[in-house]
Amino acid sequence: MQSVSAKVRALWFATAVTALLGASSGCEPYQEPLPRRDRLNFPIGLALHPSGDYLYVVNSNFDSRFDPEHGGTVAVVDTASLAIKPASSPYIPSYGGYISLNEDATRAYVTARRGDSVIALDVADAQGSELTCLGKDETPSAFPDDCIIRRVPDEADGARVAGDPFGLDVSTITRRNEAGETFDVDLISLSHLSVDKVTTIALPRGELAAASLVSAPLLDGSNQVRRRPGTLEMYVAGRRSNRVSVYLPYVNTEGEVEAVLVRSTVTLNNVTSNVEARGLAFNQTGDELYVATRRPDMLHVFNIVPDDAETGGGTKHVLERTIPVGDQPSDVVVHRDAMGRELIMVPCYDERSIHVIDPKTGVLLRKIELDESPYQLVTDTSPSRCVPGASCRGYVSLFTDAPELSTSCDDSSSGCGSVAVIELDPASPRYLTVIAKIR
Amino acid sequence: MPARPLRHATGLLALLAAFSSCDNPQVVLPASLDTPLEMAISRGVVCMDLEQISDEGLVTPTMRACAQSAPQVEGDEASRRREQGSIGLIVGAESDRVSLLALNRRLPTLVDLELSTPGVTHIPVGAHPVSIATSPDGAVAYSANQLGKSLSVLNVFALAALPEEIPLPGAPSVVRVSRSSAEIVVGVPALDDGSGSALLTRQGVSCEIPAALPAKPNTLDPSQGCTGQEPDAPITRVLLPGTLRDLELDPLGEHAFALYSDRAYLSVVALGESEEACLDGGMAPCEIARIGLTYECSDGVDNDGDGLTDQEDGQCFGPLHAESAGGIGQYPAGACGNGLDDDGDGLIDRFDPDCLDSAQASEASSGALTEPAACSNGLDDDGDGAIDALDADCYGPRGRSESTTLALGFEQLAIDEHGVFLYVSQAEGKQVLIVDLGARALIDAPRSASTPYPFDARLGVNIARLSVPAAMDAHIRRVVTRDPLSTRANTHAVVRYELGAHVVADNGFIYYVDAATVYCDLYETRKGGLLSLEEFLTQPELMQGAQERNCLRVPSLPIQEVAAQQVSSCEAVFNCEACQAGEDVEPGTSDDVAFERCGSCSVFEESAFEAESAACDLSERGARRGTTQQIFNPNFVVRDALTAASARQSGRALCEQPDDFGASVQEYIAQNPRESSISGCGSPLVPQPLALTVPLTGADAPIDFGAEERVSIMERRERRLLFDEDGEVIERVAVNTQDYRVRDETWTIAYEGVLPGTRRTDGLAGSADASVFDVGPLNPCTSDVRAGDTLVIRDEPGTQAGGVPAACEGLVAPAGVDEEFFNSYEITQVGDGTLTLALLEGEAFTKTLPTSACFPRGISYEVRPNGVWVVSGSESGLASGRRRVDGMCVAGNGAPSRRATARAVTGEIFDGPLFSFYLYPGKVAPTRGLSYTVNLERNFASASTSQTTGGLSSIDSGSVRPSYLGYITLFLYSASALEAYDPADPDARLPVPTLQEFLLTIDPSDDSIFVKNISTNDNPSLIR
Repeated sequence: MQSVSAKVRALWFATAVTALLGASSGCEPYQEPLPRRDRLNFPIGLALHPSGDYLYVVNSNFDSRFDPEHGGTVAVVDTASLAIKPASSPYIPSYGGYISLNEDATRAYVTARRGDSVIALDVADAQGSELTCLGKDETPSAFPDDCIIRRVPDEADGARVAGDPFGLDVSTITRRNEAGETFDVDLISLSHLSVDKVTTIALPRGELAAASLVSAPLLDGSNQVRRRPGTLEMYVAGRRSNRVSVYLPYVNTEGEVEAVLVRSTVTLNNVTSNVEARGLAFNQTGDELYVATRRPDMLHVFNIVPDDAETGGGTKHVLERTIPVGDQPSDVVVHRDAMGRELIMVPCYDERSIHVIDPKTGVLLRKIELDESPYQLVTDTSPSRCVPGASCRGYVSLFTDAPELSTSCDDSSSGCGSVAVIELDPASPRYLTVIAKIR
Repeated sequence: MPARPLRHATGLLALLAAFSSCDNPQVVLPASLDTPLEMAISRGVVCMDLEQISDEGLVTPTMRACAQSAPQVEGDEASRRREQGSIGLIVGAESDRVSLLALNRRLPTLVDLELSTPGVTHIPVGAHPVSIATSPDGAVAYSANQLGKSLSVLNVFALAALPEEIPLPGAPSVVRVSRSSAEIVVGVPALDDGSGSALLTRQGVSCEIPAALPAKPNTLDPSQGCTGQEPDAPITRVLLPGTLRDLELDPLGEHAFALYSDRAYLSVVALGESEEACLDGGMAPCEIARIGLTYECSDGVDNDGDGLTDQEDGQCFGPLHAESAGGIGQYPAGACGNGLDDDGDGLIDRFDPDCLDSAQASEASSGALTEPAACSNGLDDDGDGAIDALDADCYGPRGRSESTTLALGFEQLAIDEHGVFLYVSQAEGKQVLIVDLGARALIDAPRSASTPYPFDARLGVNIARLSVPAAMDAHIRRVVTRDPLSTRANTHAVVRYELGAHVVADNGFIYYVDAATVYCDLYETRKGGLLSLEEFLTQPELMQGAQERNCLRVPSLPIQEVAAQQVSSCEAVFNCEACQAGEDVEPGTSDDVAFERCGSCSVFEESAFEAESAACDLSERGARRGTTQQIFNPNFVVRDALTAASARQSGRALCEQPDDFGASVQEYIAQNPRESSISGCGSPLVPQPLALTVPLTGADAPIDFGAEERVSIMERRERRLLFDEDGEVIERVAVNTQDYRVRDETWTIAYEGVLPGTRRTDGLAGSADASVFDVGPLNPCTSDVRAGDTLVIRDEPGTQAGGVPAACEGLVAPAGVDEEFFNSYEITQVGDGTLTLALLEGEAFTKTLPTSACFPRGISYEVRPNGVWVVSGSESGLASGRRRVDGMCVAGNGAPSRRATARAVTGEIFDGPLFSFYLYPGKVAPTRGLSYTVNLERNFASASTSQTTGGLSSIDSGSVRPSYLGYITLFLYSASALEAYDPADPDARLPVPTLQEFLLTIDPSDDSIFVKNISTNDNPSLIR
């Protein structure tokens, strides 16, 4: 599996990191003021609009070439033409991470490590064709300055978003206040790469001005956070530990988050203190948990069952199996195909592939070969897609995929990184292959 | 993330440097394994000579046919000695290769097949091989290729795969080969046609010994001389009822055992013709039986043969119950679980609405609370669309959950060399389950062990508290002791067998599950009697014709040694026997000592002692079949590394004497000056717990018990056979403490002590009826509160504003009366959340029942038993033997074992969960508050092998997630010695093999193989 190209790639990566360190230690903070919005630039996070018509790609400005405050973008991609819509793609601070939409798809939230930021972008229309920041004067803008959450409340002594927010889960819950008014609350759960905290931000009615925030120490660095279906329990993957922690944000009747309640811990390995859990996913019913780890390169499958079999009370996590996957998995996704069958997909960064696994049997069904460094994968979930006779696709960000044979991305006219489009229609002869690339 | 690529890069640079330096052709071995998963051993006609081609150990093979000697007896082929191959074949899932491991060395090593290619070259096979097996003669190997949905067929002589793969109708997960028929058996978890899991059988491929031997790799045509490899040869499918997790064959390859990820049973599949009927009524190969792997009421099997399974069965009240009174369940079965209509109302067990739980003592109405249960509340509690009786998960209308998903987490199967036991590793419970393959029944291991332990909710052997068992290998070790009389040395032997399994867990340790120890007295040890060790370990088919087969029969478990289980301490019995036999008296005196003169017999009744003595012979463990005598000792524990150190009492027991008791002792001493003047905890005047081995009378009795053992820890008993000096076979019973069960904790033995958990501050006096006391959240059932116990109110009466109303003055202790226990009441009835109180007689107690007017706030109270001692552990708690169901208190928590008790009686022997003691009565009656605390020290450490010692785990991942464990025994001959053997030479002696034993694990997470040579006890090594 360790091909010569993998070795070269590793050396290239080391060189890039060295260059990056050199760049960041220089006097000039950036080389150009703003990134181009018509191309990708070290893409990481992806989200699909529920209509399936638009894909959002978080570009991270990982090489720090642009103004740190606006060095990243969220590229809005028309999934029909696979074209980036530059005018609809807003800027964000550098080192963007994940992106997630609220339940009614009116708001997209993005994490960015620059300035420890969460950016709340408005989705312009029902199809999701544009992301904007509504300024304080309600004017749509591509600049995110009025939409960045860094302190809650947004004043000098407001609670800060903890350092290096990265993983993101957005849930919409309903609360009924003492006046009997029922309203939605956007509940943003964050993991943080470098600090020992998890964070929950509650936005009653989506209002930034009414936001509340609670951070709590839970585990030493965390990569991804996911909500277990059917519950409000948040599962967060440890970056420098051997566990997944489970917590429950407590939101009062006014829609304010008051506390983070620790529920349990799922131990992934009893030898290694650092398994670096990278990806988390649940099956549709929430009784299976999938964790992709890098130390070792494994997919861990847990059954979530009642702790007390007699009464059905309590919850425990029983390791069902571990499945070896390719080098350096970076995500795990449960995809429901047109036959109603669930498939587990694990993008493997160093192996440049996606492992497709049958969750029921643990059998490796396919390896989807990719050109370079897959990071996050999203698949169509629109009710009109992934049903018999309809289109069904997956999109995977390829962090460093260069358009030509090149040892670096810096001068490529097409930017750096891409998004591979994967055919997920079982009826297609190109099923589970790359059918296009977005750059 | 970059560690592995950088390591590879470093290796590459080193390699380049090596090639650039012609003076020093150093070969740097790069790591060559990629996701190794499983190994099979070619143990037949293919042998391999190795040539070391580098100082670093790179070796290259020359293949040859294994050598054999001339027959020792002319014309008797069986008298030949045959060299057997010892080639390990390892599948690498990510490399699509099979690696070759030379096992015929002190340190096994990978073999390089292509010298011209840098690094170690392996055998290419199909896509993503995950399992491998070899033919009985070792000439052919099969890799199951998951992505390729195929089998690759390898000619082991040629060290290459045949050009055509065998296509399969689905992605395989496991391949095995029948030893008896050489058929290939493949497990497919999901057939492509959607019909689920299947077991596929197909004729095997055979390859002749090539003429062009010896040969180097890549010089032979792998297809040459092979037959049966046609891709379109017919495949027989056996559809399986669950999602296949693992598959193993019995030693002869006549049956396959299928383990599922979503079924709580094993399927037994007959591979060839079978006298047993197929479950589907068809023809073999077919499923012929199912073996439950959990509690009977949730294992998917009709265990009691009444045609009803699990939820359907009227004896099943929940998933942890048994389908019959004698079946495997966590809770005992009473009147509502015996299959009888006990109250004559025409309704049996669960179908009688008065039955709320199988453990009920009667089918008559209990009067307990019957709030709607989850299966009768009219709700779809688990959201599956089915309500109450329509939900198939419901155990009748009193079912407590509509969702009865049991966690399974089965991992692997292993079967020993003679098919005695089958082992299943399971993440849930972190245990190894053991199946008696003869009886085709799961063994309830904790309750079938040498000393049954009824409190363990598991059914298997727990490996470690936190670690998940993964890969396993089962085996039988055998030690033969020949008759010391030379005339019988060849015809008579005592054989000791150790049955067990090595299990590697995800904490990096390999444990040994000690299932049983068997002794066998064999009177025919020549041909037809006892197999040679080589035959025993490598040729299971020979066992059928050998007398030795009688040695490996498993009795019905648990062994019904009821009388022995009633004996609290066989060690004490043996001490008493020894005393009576005069073994402790001066030579020259009478050998027999009267029972009553033996201090070590003082805890026994003479009339009953003979029966206790007989019980300690453990005669139920013995069986005689013809001239063969067998003793079967069930162990079912993880082996203890600290055999020299036993669980014991740590330090002296501490005691607490209340003032009034101390005064009574002093008074007794003053009145009885000829008796002991000691007044401390060990005084013979004081009631106290004493181990059953402490002599209480006679010259051996200590004058002060202070330094004596206070408890006799639960014993592990083993009946043994051995030769005495005269060559006679004698039996001995050895006892040791059951260290595996003991915990480091403090036990308290307190006279009329507070029942644990009953000292609370939230009691409420009855508002309508002052005799009904509300105990708040206390569970009186599990706290063992009983009628006749005493409730003590520790608060003083008073209003919220202060002061004591006149109506409450009767609750204030008058002058001269001890106020601590003044407000005490007799408990006359125990309800669910309430206690009914009555006044106690005597001046020392109040004559007023508590009222809410006198105690307006939550009342501090406690419950104490009367006239008995309360025994509780700081970790183990209190063994009440009961549990609460639907407001009713029924047997549970270790019941019906007599060890499920927490109350000791003065002057009697107490048998608790982990130990026994005699509650020596002393001379002064105990008073409330007299208590002893005893610290127990476990002294158990798992006998284990660490995979991570010495930095053997990878710098890449540092992880341990093994997929394979092999306990490998090899008999290595010198080929030249075999060939040189000349039976015509009267001085010639047949060459004898060297036994090599390895413990080998494969870890795909670490891309490594761990090897420990047990024969040499060398430091372990790691192969990459």
